[in-house]
Amino acid sequence: MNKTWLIISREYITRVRKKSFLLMTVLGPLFFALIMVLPIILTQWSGGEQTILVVDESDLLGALPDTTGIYFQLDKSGKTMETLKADLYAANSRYDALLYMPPTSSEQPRGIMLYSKEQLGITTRMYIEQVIADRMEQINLENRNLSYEDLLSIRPKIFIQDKVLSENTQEQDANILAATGLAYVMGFLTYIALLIYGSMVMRGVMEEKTSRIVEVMISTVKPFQLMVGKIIGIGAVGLTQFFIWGVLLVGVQLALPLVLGDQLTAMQDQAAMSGGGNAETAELARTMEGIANMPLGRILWVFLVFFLGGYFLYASLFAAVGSLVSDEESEVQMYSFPLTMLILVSIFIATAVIQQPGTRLAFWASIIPLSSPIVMPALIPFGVPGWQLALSIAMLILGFLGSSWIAGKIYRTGILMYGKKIRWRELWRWVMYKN
Amino acid sequence: MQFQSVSKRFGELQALDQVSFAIPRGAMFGLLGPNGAGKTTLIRIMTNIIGADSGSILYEGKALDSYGFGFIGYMPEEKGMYKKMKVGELLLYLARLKGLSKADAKDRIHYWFQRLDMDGWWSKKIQELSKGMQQKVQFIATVIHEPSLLILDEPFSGLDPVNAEVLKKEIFHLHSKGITIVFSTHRMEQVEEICEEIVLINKGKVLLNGAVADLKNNHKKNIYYLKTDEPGSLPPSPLFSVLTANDNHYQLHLEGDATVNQLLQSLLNHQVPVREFSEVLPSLNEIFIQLVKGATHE
Repeated sequence: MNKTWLIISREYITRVRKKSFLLMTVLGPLFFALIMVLPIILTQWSGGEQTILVVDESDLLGALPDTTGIYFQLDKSGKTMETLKADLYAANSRYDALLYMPPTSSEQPRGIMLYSKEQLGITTRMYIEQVIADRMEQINLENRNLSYEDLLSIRPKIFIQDKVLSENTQEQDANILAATGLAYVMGFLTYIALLIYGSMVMRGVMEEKTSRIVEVMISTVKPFQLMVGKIIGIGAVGLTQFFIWGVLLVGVQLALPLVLGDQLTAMQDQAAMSGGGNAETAELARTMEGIANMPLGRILWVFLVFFLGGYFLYASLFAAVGSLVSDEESEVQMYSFPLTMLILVSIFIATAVIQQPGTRLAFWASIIPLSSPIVMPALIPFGVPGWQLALSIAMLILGFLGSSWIAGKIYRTGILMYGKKIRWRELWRWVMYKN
Repeated sequence: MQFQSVSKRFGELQALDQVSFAIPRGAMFGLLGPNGAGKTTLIRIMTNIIGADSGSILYEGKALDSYGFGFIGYMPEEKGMYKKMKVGELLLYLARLKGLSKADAKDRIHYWFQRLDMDGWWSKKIQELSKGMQQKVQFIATVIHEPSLLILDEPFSGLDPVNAEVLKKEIFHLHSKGITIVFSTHRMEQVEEICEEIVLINKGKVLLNGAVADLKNNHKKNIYYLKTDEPGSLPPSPLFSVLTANDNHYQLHLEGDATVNQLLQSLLNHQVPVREFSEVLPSLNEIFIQLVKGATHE
């Protein structure tokens, strides 16, 4: 036990001390945040400032509301369309685009044209369409002597309150949207973690094998100790990383309102101002509330249990794979392919299951230990009966005991084999081989 | 340490076939054989890396398994270490795996650093070291826990003469302290000068076993070396035949039941000016080749 402990601490300390660990831990979340925020920033910046000259022969538009980056200017020069188009093409033109509204009705607006020097972005186009549609709607309402409130009551927004009946017929608030969002996060987090830490174990085993230190090690400790020590050490690295991310997340959530307080309220106001925004904000608020109302403690421990279980299962298999590889990169791909495939299939099943949580596929995928580490965390926000959870955990424990038993057998022989292609049949013999 | 009909099979290949021999305590013992003879397999069984299919190994009369790993120091042929670790940390780690306390391990590492001229190596990374330097580190890792049995697989391969000499000196030093040392090599002439006893295996079987001097005596072929004062032809005689003649150097083969004295007498009778006369003992290499040839002829 003492030796295993030494191995664990070496595996852990050498990795945590690396600069790449610090970089991953700090830059990882930043990178993810960037990926989320980047599209928004890009659409905001790519457009730059656009001024659009509006020629309104229908006299319906009036002054259109500007927004950030898009400004409207009503043409009062009385020039013909041809001259205006020519002006637009001139190098010194003040305008980026020309919006033409022919004499038409507000009920069936036809023949609206948008001329531009360069292709306009999709957001700009959508905004212009939205603005015109809003104005037509307003005019049509006025013509019928109706108010905006009348319209809302004609076309009410539907919100379904989900309730889940538990065994003692007690109602429980549920929120499909919140559950779905959380389910995706959980599923993908386990998926990425299994892949990253699994292949870290594989690389570690390969390093020992190709550098040939393994022979020295095996003459000092049992192969199984070496394998388990490595797996636990790297697992601890993963947990450390999660823990730091958790702390960072909470820190950011606490710090964000302090730093960005004004901007945030401004953004919320803006969202509320734009037409129909109220319903969306309300939906968003409900989702956030839904997440907050979920049994987060339960979700967290389920995540940890399944991450660890799945990690032990897959890491031991990855260790076995690492022990088979001699040197070449192509061999790594070949041997690890079945494992990456299993993990990939699991995340596919998880995304399917998130759409339809109550299916038989969902049930079996959450019981079978090869897919349950990814499927179960994705399923848990929707609520899983206690017995199913217990069965799944029991199966997972059996699964990783079995996989580490098999992996230990393969590993023990594999790490001492060099320069030989290994067939499946041979692997089977190693597994069956008695001590 | 005693090997009793140890066998090991890898699929089609019979790596070891009923191997039996003994390594006396405190010996300088040579484990010889050409590449692929089963040396490494034998060592791996000795060091508990793999198990034998059948047969048993006794150490001081008891089964090897009952001793754990602690008393053996093993330096494999392929020297390998964690390349990114620092020398000191790596040695500390390996020493503690062998059961030393942290303080003890540090003391001994520094002792060996001093002994092998390695002051200031603690914080060097393994990957920054040359091959010879890495080998020194590996040697320390092998002996740090003061094993009573040292197994060295091709210890001198890849070492320059200076470092090889240093290593040899250390090995003799350990030997003088009563440590049993097992050399494994396919270079037989290397062993001849170092080892007292050997076992020679080929294709998984023991070909030869015993003290080097005895083996040579047992395999001598009645060949004698003769040096005369000046070149000239030797008188023909039924007592001997001339194998090679090179200026004034000759190799003679003693025929039938003739004795050395009879031969010398005959030479002197013919007025051959003898300057040197000695028995030619076969080298281990020759014995090996002779045995392998004999085995294939049968």
